[in-house]
Amino acid sequence: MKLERRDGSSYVMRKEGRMNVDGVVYADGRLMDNILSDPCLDQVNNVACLPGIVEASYAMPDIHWGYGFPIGGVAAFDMHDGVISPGGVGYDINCGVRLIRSGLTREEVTDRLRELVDTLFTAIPSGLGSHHRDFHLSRAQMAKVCTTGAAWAVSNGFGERDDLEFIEDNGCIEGGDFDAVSDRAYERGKSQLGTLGSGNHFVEIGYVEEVYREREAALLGLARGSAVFSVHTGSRGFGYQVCSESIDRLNKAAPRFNIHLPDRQLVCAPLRSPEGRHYLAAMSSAANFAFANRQMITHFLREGVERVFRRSSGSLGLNVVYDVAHNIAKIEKHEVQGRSRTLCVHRKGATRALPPGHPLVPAAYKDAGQPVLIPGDMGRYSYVAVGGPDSLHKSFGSCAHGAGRVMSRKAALKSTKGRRIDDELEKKGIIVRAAGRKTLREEFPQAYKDVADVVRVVKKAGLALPVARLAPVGVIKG
Amino acid sequence: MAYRLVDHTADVAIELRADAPAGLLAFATDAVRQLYAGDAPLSTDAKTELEIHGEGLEELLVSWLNELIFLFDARGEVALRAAEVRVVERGRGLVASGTISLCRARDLDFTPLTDLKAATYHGLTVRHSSTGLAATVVLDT
Repeated sequence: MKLERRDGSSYVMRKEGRMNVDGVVYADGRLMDNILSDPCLDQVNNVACLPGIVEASYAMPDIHWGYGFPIGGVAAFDMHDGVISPGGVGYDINCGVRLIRSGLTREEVTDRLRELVDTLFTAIPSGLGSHHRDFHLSRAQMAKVCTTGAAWAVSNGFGERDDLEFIEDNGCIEGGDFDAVSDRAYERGKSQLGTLGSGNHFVEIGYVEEVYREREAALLGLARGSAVFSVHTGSRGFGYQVCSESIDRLNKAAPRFNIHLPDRQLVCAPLRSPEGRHYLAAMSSAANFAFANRQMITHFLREGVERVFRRSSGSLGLNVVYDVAHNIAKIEKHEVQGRSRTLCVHRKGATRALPPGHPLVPAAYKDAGQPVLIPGDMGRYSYVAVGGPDSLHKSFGSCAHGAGRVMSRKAALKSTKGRRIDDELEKKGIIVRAAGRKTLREEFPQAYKDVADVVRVVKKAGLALPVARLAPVGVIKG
Repeated sequence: MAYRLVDHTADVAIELRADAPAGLLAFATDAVRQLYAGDAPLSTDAKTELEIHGEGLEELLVSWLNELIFLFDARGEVALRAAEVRVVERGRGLVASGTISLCRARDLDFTPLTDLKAATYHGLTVRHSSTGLAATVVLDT
C-alpha cells in the first residue's frame, strides 16, 4: 500500500491490486503518525475492494481500527451493482449525538451542579445492561418504533413535536420494518428504550466556552457562556442483536455472492439481493430505535432539569440543536462526476455534514449548514461545527465523529491504578457520576486523543467549519 | 486446558485451549462469566438447555458466545458454567448442546464488570494442535 500526500490535510492511496477506487485519508502529518500505528489503513484498502464502491474509500481524521470497516470510514455504493455491509455500520447501529441548548448560564448550572448531576443520573437509566424495570415495549409498540423512530416517542409524550425538525432525517429512516427484526432482537431491546448504556456513552452538562463563527452560532442558538446538554448513545442491545444476526446471515449467503472478503467482518450483500434488502430494513429499524432512544433520554433530561430549577422546560429554553447519527448506512442522492446518482452511503464513526443551502438542512439553519457534533473526552472539550461548503464533493457530505481512543481499556485501567478520576475531575470543576465501577478509569480523558487535533484537520480539509467549543462541567457515564 | 483474556484496543479477546470442541465451548462459558462477574460469588438459581447450530467450529463458537451475551443483556442471566456440552455433526454443519447454570443477576445488586455487545469474526481462529484445539475470538465491548 502506497500512501501519497495530496495536500496539507489529505493523503491518497492509489488504486492497485483488487482496489476498485482510491483510498482518501483526511489527516495531516501529526495525525498520520498516530494513524500509522494501527492497521486501519489496511481496512481503508479492503473497503476500496468492495464491488460497486463509488469515487473513493474515505477515512475521516479520527480514523482508527474497527471491525471490517475502519471507524471513521465512509463509503458510498451504487444501488445497482454495489453492496451493503453490517461491518460498514457497526454493532451500535445509529450510535449518535444530540445537543440540547438552554437559556441557563454556566453560573446558574454550576451553582446547582451536584444536584443536577445526581438528578440526571437517577432520571436516566445508565450502566452495563441498563434497562427499565417497569417499562417494556409490546411487540406492536416496537413495530411502531421501528417504522417511525423519534416520532413514536413524541407521540407517546416523550418530547415536543418541534424536536423532530432538528434530528437527522427528522428522526426516522425510511424502510424500517419490524418483520425484518428477529424475536431475539425484540426481546433484547424491549426494556432498553430510553436507556444510556455504558462504555463511551454519556450525558454531559457543559457550556459554550468559545465561539469561532458568530453568525452560525447565533443561528444554532449557541451563546457564549450558555449551558448545553449532550447525549451520546445508540440502539443498545437491539442494534447489537440486529448486527450480530445480520453478519451470521450474510456469512452463510456469502459463497453465493462470490465477493472477495479479506476479512469476515467485511461480509456484505448486493444491495439488490433479498439479503441486502433484509439487512437494510433491519438496520433501518434499529436506527429508528436509536432515534427514539435519544428522544426519550431528552425527555428524561428535561424533566430532571425542570425539577432542579423548578421551571418548565419551555422557560428553560431546552431546545434540540441537532441530533446526528454516526454509525449508519443510508440511501442518499449525490452528484458524481456531474450526474445525480442514488447511493448507499455507509458512515461508520462518521457524521453527516451537509453544506449551507442543502434541502435536508433544517430551515432555521439553511444559511449555516447542518450542525456537526464532535465530542471529545469528559475532561477537555467538544466541538460544534457546520457542514463545509464543499463537503459533498470531498466526502459525500461526511465528517469526523469524535476523538477516538489512544489507549485500550486495560491500558487505561493500568495507567490509572490507584487514582480517583472523579476526584481529579472535580478539582477541575467537573462532577462525574458513573454506574460502572471501572468506567471512569477506562474512560479517563487521556485514554482519548485530543479532539482539537481532529477538528484542526476537519477545518483545514473543509469537511466542516468549527462554530463553537463546549466545555464539560458535569458528566453521567454508564 | 483453559481460557485467557487478552487485551485488545477498546475490546477483549479470549484465547481458548481444549482437548475437543465441547471443551472450547465450556471454557468460553467460563470466560464470559469472568468478564461479567469476575470472582463475584454468584450462585446458580436456574438452568437452561442450549442448542446452537453452526456451519463449522468457528461459527459455532461465535454463536455460542453470542447466546451467552444475549442471556445476560436480554434477561439479566449470567451464565456461570456449561455442563454436559456435546458437539455433533448434523447435516452439513455442527450442533452444540449443553446445560448452562445461570444466576438471575437482574434481581440482585449486581453490576457487571464488562459490557459485551457481541462475539465477532475479526481475527477468529480455531486451530488443531498437538495438544488439542486452540481458538481466539474477539468480543466487541
